[in-house]
Parts: sequence; structure tokens; C-alpha cells
Amino acid sequence: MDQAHIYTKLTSVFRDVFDEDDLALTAATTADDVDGWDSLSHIRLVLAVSKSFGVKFSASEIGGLKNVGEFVELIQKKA
Amino acid sequence: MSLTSPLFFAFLAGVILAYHISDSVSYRKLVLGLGNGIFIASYVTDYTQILPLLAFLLLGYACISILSVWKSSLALGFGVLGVLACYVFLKRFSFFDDLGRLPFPYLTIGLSYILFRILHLMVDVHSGDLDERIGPTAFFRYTCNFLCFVSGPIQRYQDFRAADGIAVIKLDADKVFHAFARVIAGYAKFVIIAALADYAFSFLKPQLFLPGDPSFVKLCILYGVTASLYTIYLYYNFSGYMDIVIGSGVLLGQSLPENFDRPFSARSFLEFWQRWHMTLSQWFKFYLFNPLVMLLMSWFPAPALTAYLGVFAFFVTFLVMGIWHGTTAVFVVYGLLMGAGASINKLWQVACAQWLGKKRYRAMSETLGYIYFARGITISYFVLALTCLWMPELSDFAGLLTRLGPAGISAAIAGMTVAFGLFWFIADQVAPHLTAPSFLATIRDSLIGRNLTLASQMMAIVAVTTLLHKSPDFVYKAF
Repeated sequence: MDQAHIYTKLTSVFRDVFDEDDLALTAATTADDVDGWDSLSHIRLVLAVSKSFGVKFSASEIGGLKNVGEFVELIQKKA
Repeated sequence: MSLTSPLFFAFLAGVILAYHISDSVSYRKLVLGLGNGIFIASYVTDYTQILPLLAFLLLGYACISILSVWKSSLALGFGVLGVLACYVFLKRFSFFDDLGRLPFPYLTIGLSYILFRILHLMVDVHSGDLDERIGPTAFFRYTCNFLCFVSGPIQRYQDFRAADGIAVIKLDADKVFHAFARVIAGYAKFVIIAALADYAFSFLKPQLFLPGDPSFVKLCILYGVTASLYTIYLYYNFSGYMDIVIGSGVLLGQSLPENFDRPFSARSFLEFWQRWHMTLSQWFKFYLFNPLVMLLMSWFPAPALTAYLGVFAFFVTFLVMGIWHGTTAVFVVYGLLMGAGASINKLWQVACAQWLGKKRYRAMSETLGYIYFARGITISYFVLALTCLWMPELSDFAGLLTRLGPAGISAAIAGMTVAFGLFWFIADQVAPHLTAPSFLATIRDSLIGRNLTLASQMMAIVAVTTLLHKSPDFVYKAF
């Protein structure tokens, strides 16, 4: 799966989880840039991404993500 | 081997010198392994004292070896339960006194942090995050790394492996100076600030229990000052220790993770835990909180329940963390207080976002009054909860709370909130305007100035140690 496709799909998941219709993602987007992206909504996001992309994440992968770019790379590696 | 003893200096210097004699990776690994062995041996006087630790390490290594071949969830479950049962037995938790205990004295220091490393290896080997076979010597160097043996930081194996005895370490004069400066700054925190706070704390603590009927105001102030002094002692003792091991690690090519990030500048209790004892918080987040929340969310998927599932997970996580801190019932109270702090914080955020809307809540949380109140109340709540650590018997803890009463506790929290909030207001708003003339900064940053700073810190360390007539011990060694 190419990165552009992952970004499109991931943006849709983010908008759904954070209830923000105009949310735009870049590789540098972090939790500080998205209203309500805390440790709890992070888990909800990971579950939604797992379901949407059909992949599973390990404990250290879930906790170690620093920005959207890393998330996209991880999905690309697994999908 | 105490970190403040001349023996430790000689040992550390010996390991660093021996390490840099050759670039051979296998030689360097041998030096690190021997260093760990000598460091641990310095705590024992009889070989039997080391046997339980060896058994614990062997059990951990066996579990990891089995999991690397057989990645079964059942094997992981049994492995985790077995290692935890062995840990609880060896640590002599008071709740399990009836189970009996080994009939001889033995070493328990380092056991808690070895537990974290073994559990992390087991989970990561099972999940496939660690797909290589870990040899027994690498396992020993990682779990018993003498720099982190007593109290962390809890480094992940993936990060440790990258620097384990590597041949090329780029050390230049500047890097060595900064490593030494970090070590000396750590000793200054440890030996001067923490020791003085401990001295004052030890003087004031007995006065809380003097017979008689002290005035309400005096008792509240006495409690607030005593509890705050303990917190200052704990922070400077622990973060000073971390500066010493992180600085020493640089000289051995190790990049140990930071454990503190200005925790007392946190604006909320939840943020505080992202800045305090960070490697422990992250460990619990990775291996307990996140999996628990995932499980709960898969059972109860409604988004409206997120905050409440989080509250439950906070209580469970902090309760386990509290019990890990000590072997008596008061540490259950400590865990519950921490869980309550995190939960109240989360529910407050949710309620404010609902009442005010996200934008107005964000605007409110950026006002000066809110910021300094939030910082003050965060610190004072933490100070209150830490009382459990200096009152390890539940009866003493309950006696102190009874003496203070609800009004006394509330007044102490209010007083500390104002004091800490005011302190940070002055530190942030006034102190930056009190800048020294630029030529002083130039002198300070010059070669002579930097070395003079280092030398004066060392002189101050020697002076205070001489005045106090005792060598301070590392507080977290007990946990």
C-alpha cells in the first residue's frame, strides 16, 4: 500500500475518532497538534486503525509512536 | 557499594579505564559483564546471599528462551505469573507472610528493576518486537547493568543492545567535560540539596508526633513544610543519582534514557507522570495501562465510555505501581491516592471540555491564574500522597491523618498550593528579568569559568559532606 493511500485512509480514521471534520495530517503531526489526542484516545485511535487496515500492533509499537509519519511507516510495514 | 563512597569512584574509574584499553567488542563486553559482577558482589558477604538473585535470573532467562521458540500466549501467561510469584516471594511482601520465606538473609536490591527488564523482554519476544536469540551473557549485561542495577533508569533491550560494548565511541574533550559536569551536578544535588532537605526533614518529622495539643495552624504548617521537604529530598536524591549514572554511561558509550523532565513545572497530575520517573511511567504505560485500556475498549466500544474506562485503568495501573513501591499496606493507599489523582484530573478535563467547549477550555487553561493554580495543586497533591513513603506503617499514616483531620489536610493542601503556585509564578515571571550582565555569562562559559564552576561544586560537596558528618544513601534503593 503506498503512502498517499495510507494518508487518505488514516485521515478518515483520525477525523472519525477525534470528531474533527477538517483535520489534516502531515508526517510531522503529533499529539500536541490534535485536540483531544491523549493516552486514552490514542488507544481508541490504534484500535480503529487496526480495524481499518487489518493490522495488529505490539505494546512497544503502540507506546513508541512519536508522530503521524512514524505511524504511516509502521502501517506500511505491516499492511 | 554506595554511590557516594570512595570505593565506587575507584570502581567506576577502573571500569572506564579498562573499557577503553581495547576496541575489541568481545573484550568490552567482558569488562562490562565483570563490572556488573563486581558491583553486585560488593553487596554480599556470603555466596548464599546471591543464590536467590541467580535463581530469579535463571527463571527469567528460561522464560525468554522458551518464548523465543514457542510464541504462545499461554506460555507468556505462565511465564509472567511465574516470574511475578517468584518476585513477590523473594521481596517478602507482608500480605504473603504466611507463604513462608527463605531461612537465610539474601540480596533483594536490584530485584524490582530486573523484574521490569525481564517482563519487557518476555512481552517483546512474544510479540515479535525482539526476534533475535538473546545470549546468557547479553542477558546478564542487560538485566544487571551496574549503572542501572540499583534503581534504573529502565532501558529497553533494543536501546541497550545498540550500545552494548560497541567498538567505536566518539569521546572528545567537550563530551568528556559534559559527562563529568553531569556527574558532579548529580553529586551536588545528591549530597548538598537532598542531604540538607533530609536533614531538615529528619529534624521536623518527630515534631509532628510530639505529645500535647499543638495549635491548628502550627500543625498544618509543620506538616506542609515536613512533607514538602521530603519531596524535595526525594526528587534531588533520585534525579541526582540519575545524573550520576547517565553521565557515567556516556563515558562507557551508553546512552541511558532520561528519567526526569522538570516534573514540578507540570500543569496537571497526568502531565506530572509524563515527567517524573519517566522510564517507570512509560513501562507501566506500555505493558499495563495500554493493554488494559485496549481490552476494556474492545469489550465496551462506545466512545462515550472512554474517560470512565480510563479512570478504571488509572486506578489499576497506579495501584500496581503503588504496591510495587513497598511491601506494606500503606503502599496500597499510596497507589489508590495516585489513581485518584489521575482519575480526578481526567474527569476534570472531560467535564471542562463538555461545559465550556474545547476552545474555551483551552483558552481558560492558558490564563496565568489557571496555570499557577494547576501547578500548585498538582505539586501539593503529590506531596500529600508521598506521605505514604515516609510513613510506611499504616497505623502511623492513619494516626497522622487523624491528628490533622479533614480541615487540617485541606488547609495544608491549600497552603502548599498557594506556596508552590507563587514560587513558580515568581520563577517564571520575575526571575527571567533578573539577568546577569553579559560579561559574566561569557566568563562562566569560558574554559576557565567552566572548570571553576566544576571545582567549586566539588568543594561545596566536600564541605557539606564534612559538615553533615554522614554519607547520604540513595532513597529509591529501598523500593
